[in-house]
Amino acid sequence: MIHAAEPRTTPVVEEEVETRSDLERLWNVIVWDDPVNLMSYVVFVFQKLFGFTREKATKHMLEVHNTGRSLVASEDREKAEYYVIRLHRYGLQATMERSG
Amino acid sequence: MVQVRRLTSEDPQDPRYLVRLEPPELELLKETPGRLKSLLTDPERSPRIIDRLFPPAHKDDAHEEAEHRRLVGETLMEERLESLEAFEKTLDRARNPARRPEVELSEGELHLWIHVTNDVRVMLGTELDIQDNDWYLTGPARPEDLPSFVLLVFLSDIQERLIEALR
Repeated sequence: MIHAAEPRTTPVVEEEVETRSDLERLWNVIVWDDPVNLMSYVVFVFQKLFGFTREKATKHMLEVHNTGRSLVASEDREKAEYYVIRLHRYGLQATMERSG
Repeated sequence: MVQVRRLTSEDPQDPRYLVRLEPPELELLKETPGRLKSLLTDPERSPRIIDRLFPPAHKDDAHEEAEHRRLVGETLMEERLESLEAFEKTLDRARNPARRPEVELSEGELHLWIHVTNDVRVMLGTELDIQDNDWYLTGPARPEDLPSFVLLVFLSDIQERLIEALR
């Protein structure tokens, strides 16, 4: 009688799953108020960078102006980094933070 | 007074714009890139302005911020310097510079003007230590700040006209 070889089991790579979850986790992009940037310029940047309609861009601009900050995007880390870098290039003050 | 208008273009995919200035305004625009360029190429001169032009991405996490700076490297600095040089080249094209200067711009160049004027505005605003949204009503804090303040107002006006022309 021929005995089948015991099947080999592959250990679960839990570390890899944790890393994937961290990468997929959302990051919030926050724009902060700055008295130098004109309202028209902030609206222009929001439309150009995020593709917002003028109404949505104005809403976020007013939120920055009136409350000091606005959450403009929630994205994966790479996209959030990209947005923050572009916002800085456009002269806006922006940061990113883990969502939730 | 600066005028910006969209030209009738044969190719709707390539809109063109005309910026009309007075000769002193053209000269003022020609001088402004130099101030920012000298700061960017010698960041130690004004760390406060450099900090404002290159703000943190991670407010409360020094490790993440260090990673971000490593990722970004000198990219933003190089982009700003390239933009200033491209802006200067558009000014060199001005027709009729001594009487009624005119500069014709592509849409991409109009965007360039919007961003360069903002870079210089941010530099001036930081230099003037502007803290309030109604800074244009209160005027400069010190008499010696008047030239920078006037330049800031001038660039603000141009920027708004450039943005308006895109609508």
